[in-house]
Amino acid sequence: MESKDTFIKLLLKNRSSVFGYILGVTNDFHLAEDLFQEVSITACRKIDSFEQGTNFSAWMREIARLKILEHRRKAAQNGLPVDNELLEKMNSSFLRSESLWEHEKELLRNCLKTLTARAQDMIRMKYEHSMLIKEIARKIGQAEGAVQVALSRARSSLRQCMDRGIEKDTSG
Amino acid sequence: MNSETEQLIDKYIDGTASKDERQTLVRMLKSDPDIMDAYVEKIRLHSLLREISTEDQEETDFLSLAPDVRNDPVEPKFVHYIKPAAAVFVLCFTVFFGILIYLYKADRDIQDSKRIREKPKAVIVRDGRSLPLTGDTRPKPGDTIRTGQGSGSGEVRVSFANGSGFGMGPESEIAVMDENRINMMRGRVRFSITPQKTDFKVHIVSVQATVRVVGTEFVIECLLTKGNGMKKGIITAALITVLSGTVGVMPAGEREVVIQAGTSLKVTAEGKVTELKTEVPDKAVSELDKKLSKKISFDFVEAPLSQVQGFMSNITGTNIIVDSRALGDKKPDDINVTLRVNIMKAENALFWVARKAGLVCTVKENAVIMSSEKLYPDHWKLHQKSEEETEWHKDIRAKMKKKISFDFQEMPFNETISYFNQFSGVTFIIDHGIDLENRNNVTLGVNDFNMGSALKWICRLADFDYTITREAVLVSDKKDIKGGLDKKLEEKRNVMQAKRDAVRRAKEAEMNRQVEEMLKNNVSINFENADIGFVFTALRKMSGVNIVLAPAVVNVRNKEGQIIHRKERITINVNNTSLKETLNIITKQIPDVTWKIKNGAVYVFIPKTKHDPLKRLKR
Repeated sequence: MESKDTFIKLLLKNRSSVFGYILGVTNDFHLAEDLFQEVSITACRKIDSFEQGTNFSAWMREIARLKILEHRRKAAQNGLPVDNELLEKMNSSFLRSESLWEHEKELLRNCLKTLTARAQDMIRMKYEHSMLIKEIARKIGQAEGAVQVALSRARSSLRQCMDRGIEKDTSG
Repeated sequence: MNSETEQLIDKYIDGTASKDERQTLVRMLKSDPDIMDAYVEKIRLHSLLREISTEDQEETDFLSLAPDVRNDPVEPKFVHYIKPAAAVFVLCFTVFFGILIYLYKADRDIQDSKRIREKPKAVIVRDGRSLPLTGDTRPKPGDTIRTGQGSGSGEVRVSFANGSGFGMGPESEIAVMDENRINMMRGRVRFSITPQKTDFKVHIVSVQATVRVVGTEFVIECLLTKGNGMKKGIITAALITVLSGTVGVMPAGEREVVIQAGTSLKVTAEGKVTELKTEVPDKAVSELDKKLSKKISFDFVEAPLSQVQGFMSNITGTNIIVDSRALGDKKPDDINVTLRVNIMKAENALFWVARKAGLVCTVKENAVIMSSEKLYPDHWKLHQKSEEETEWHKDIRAKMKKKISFDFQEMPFNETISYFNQFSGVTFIIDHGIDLENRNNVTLGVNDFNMGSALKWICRLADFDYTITREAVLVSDKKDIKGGLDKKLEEKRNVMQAKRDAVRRAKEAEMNRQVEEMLKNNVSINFENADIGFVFTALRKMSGVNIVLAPAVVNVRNKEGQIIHRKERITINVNNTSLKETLNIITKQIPDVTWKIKNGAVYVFIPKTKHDPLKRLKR
């Protein structure tokens, strides 16, 4: 029971990093959520093999890697054509940026408020309602290219805003 | 990371990247850790946005929809709070919105100016319509291409289907007459021309001079007057600088002047010609060596040669020219390359790209040329003379000693090789021109077997040979893949090989002795009308002895010449019988089949003295 409580705590803490890793390969929110669920179930079953004190999210990502390879064909439909090498390199990159996830979430919440109303709408349509670029373009009566540029700019502004926040926190 | 890569990642994230673009992205991610880090950073934001959005969907309103999209299924919760305060809000909103527009425009100007510093903007005027120029745009006769302002160092790259191309500096303009004729109006353009059957010509309109080339790299720069007033900004001369090869310049009404690499020629509007010496690119050659030593990885699947050429050129920063004379009637777009390379020197990677395309590589002046053996007899050879290969050679040999277990049932040969590739991290290359479709599929299962030995078995079963060279394992059916070394190195290699062979033979003898011991172990099996392959697989798994079946043991050819499974079935019921005896009982049930111990395995085969059923029935 104790191990299950620990597991749930660790799972909640590391969710973003593992989900991000799966999303990075699949580029499909729904598929990533399904796979993440499968990974969590497998991890729960194998929790006894997890060594306390080692990196939980790296352990989860290893399970995710195997799950992704299992679903390779499905994952490659919209996502990247995956193989071991790519997954391992991506894993190393995730490992480097691990500690930032939770902190960034809070910064992102604040940064979202600084976006223009139009950019906020687009972000909401894209991420909350999982709308495709062409659907957003149809909805707001703009060209797909313009929507894509606007979304890229919005994300870029958010990134800059978050970087400023991190810089402020570390210098303060 | 450049803006093109950034755009590619954004396109992928937004789900609008094509299959080719996704493959390009994978190649970039594998080969450049900085791009991978940037990608992960973007994915992190992408993922966090999704997470926050779904979390907030039920609780809060971190975002509210603008009035023009209010018919969205999720109605903003605080709309009713806004209504009572609408009058006050409209006033504030107008002022606030004005400020926002101002800030937005200012931000956009900053973004634009950043982009300009990297590369000038370019448009292509085609059929009277002005379109933005993208990396994929191929110029057609009648097109005009213009670039806007820039910092001066950035270039807009344009490529023809035949492999030639040019990079346009800021404020430049050219008109495409056809694949071999360009009219240059203004600016600075760097041409990389692949050797063609017909000359490539650039006519510099302002000075009425024509530049003629066969295949080389050169820069044309239209020179403007300085001064003030009306005379400022008029093109009075053009400067032609040859980076490699030879170029002929013909001012209007004058005789052609031929200039070599490292030379510039100034031509004025009046037809006056002045030759200027520039830096001779000795330094450039060592610079090229440095670029070609860079370690790279990639994975191309059926990628057009022109795309591979562009990728290699970008990643190494070298000029790569595909010689169209070596392609016959084909164009670089018509030749597809499938090649996966795991961390190797760019020079070797280029060698393999060329080999997969049926070409050879050589360096001329400051560029890598992919051409034919006949045109460039001094091309890079399959086996290098340099001694530095010993390091990676050792590395590959060490990797090939890894233990491997697999069970291939009728697996196509190329898939077995890609399995080896993924398992070992070694680059495996199936040679150009091999017809894989008419090869036997591989049926082979091994337990904890040395990878090199397993590969040897697979190659033997499919009539191939392999060699380790240029940081890869080349699998081929060509007879000469092991030759091509200079004498001294060959002698040295032979001595080493003899030593290795002696060690290998001793090891093999020991392995064979172990197998002989294992054959004394007793087994109990009971099969009725079972498939031949299935019985041997069961026996292998049960006993732990590696059993290799020659293709003719399980397959025959029918009258139409197609390969089909043998009809014979195995019926056996033995209890506590030695494995050796069991093998004898089984093989007696299959006509002409026998077995022996070889290379640490039991090899089941049809002796050469018997007719091979795969050939016999075909006749």
